[in-house]
Amino acid sequence: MQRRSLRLRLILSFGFGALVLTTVLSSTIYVGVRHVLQTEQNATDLRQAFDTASIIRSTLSTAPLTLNQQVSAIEKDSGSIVVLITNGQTIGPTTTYPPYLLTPDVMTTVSGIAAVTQTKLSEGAPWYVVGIPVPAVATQVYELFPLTQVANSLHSLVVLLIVASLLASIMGFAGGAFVSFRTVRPLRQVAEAAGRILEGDLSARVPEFGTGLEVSRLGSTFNAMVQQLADRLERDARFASDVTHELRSPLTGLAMAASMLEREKESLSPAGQESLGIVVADLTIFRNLVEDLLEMARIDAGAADYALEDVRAVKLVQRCVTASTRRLDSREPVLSIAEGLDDVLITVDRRRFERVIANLFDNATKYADGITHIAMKRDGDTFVLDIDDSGAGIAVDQRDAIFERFYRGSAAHDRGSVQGTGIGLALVREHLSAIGGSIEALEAPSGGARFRLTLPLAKEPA
Amino acid sequence: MKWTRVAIVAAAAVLLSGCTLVKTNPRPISIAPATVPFGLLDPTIPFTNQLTVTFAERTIYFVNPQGQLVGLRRLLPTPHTLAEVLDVMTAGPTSAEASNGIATYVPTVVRINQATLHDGVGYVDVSSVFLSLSPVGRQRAAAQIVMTADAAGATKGVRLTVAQQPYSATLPNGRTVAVLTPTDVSYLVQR
Repeated sequence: MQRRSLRLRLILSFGFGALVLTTVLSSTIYVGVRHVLQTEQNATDLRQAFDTASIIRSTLSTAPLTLNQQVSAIEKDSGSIVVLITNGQTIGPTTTYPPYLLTPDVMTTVSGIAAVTQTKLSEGAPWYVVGIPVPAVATQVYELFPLTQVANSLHSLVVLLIVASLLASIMGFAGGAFVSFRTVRPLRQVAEAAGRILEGDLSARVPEFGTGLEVSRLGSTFNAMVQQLADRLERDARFASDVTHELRSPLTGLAMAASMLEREKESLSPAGQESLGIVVADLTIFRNLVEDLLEMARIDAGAADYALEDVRAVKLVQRCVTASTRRLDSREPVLSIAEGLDDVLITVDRRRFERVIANLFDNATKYADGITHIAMKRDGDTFVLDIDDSGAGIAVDQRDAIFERFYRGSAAHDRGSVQGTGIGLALVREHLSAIGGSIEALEAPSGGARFRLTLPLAKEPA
Repeated sequence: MKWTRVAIVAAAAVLLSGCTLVKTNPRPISIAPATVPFGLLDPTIPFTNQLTVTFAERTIYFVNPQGQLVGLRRLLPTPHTLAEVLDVMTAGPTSAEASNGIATYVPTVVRINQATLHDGVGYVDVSSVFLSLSPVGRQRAAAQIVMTADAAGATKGVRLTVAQQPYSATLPNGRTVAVLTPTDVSYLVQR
């Protein structure tokens, strides 16, 4: 399910909340005002109808011939319509009136000697109908009052309330936007700081928040947590560095002793020679591990001094490849060099770049039967180096993880090898990152793994 | 989904609050008899000697679109006199009747000064304006008066006076009569 942003949800909550509240309030006001207006108007009209019925009774009993004049005068004064019915026939001047008002319900009730009222619509217009039986003159008096004024007043009120509701809703949305901005900004800053920490920047902190106790506490707690984490990592790194340093001296002694024994290995029994070979091989792995750990410790401590210089990229790569193939006694990979690369310079620490290439060769030798193809090209302001092997490739979900420290991918497990230390590729990435470069794992056209190194070109002298 | 429900509720509230501006009643509301003032529901008129007014139908003659006299029913309070019946006639047709082409030969300016009934003969005195009508107009107006008076009991005819002066009606054959009977004017009545 797609998650909406907190800010949007806050804005919508405020806006729709204001809309619902104002709608409920407006409806209440409307119903109340309508009740008052209509009740008062109906009471006035009802009194008028009683007066009319009384006048009609007097007129019919004393001067029936003046009935029409009386009725006309009443209608003119009150704005109503007076309908008189005697023995089922209309008498008086009014014989036509708006439809749907004098319903059988009304007339039956009035003819049963009961006065009634009813508010009804006739062709969309509201009317208040009063029916009064006057048995003394055998006549039913109906007076029809238009409620146009009440309807107009209510219409104006509805328009006013709708406008007020909309304005309140707009203010609600604006208020929601303001509050959400104030509320979400600290969270966004915390997320940004957490992202920087995730990328390795342990110096990232959030600013002091002054927007409330909870948010301020979040900031201070976050900073304290990061500081504690950084301190712990520093202690761990220092511990690893110290241990590694302590291991280096006895390891050097062991290596010297093994070297001496190797010179005299002809005098050893075959079993002794085999054991010596195992010791020498493991010592080599151990020394490499210690060297890598020391290098990593220097990088972590910010003590790795990079001796940067501008070098010709192609020649440097060629030399590194030759050195690695000789060291590993492996076949020379195919080199593809794009045109115009001879004079391209890159700024690197030569020794560490050689280590990068050496590590990639070691990695390919251990897990993928060696490097088969190396391509060099220029892409804008960067030098791109693709190094392909002939292995089974790297699964997509492992292509980032293999650059993590001590990560051992499926290839290592598949081969059951214990030769790798798990920090070779991590060092490669650290070195490249330190000189502004990067590395990513891809799939080679042959199906094996491709490591793409990207290095910035040396800056032109000003 | 939640916001959709909120929007529906809000819209419904707005609609409900505005759909009927004035509250209407599906059925009539009876008024308690005790709250009806002036004794309007009493069978007789208060403060009188048990006075009531009843109505009876009377035929009043007017003129149809073809120019013939035609009798129309009118409710009149009872008892009523010949003068009151003739007054209803001089009031002319109602607006509804007029819109259906009903007219009168007796202009409203002609007033009935007096009208009495003796032994089936009506004695009717009209205002002098009557004489300003044309001879034919006078014949037709007199015929309308005679037929209306006949329906009110003057079955033997009407003796007309104009401003208390004797008036001899002239028949279409040139003969003049003092008492104009329904038979004399039957040629004008719708068959």
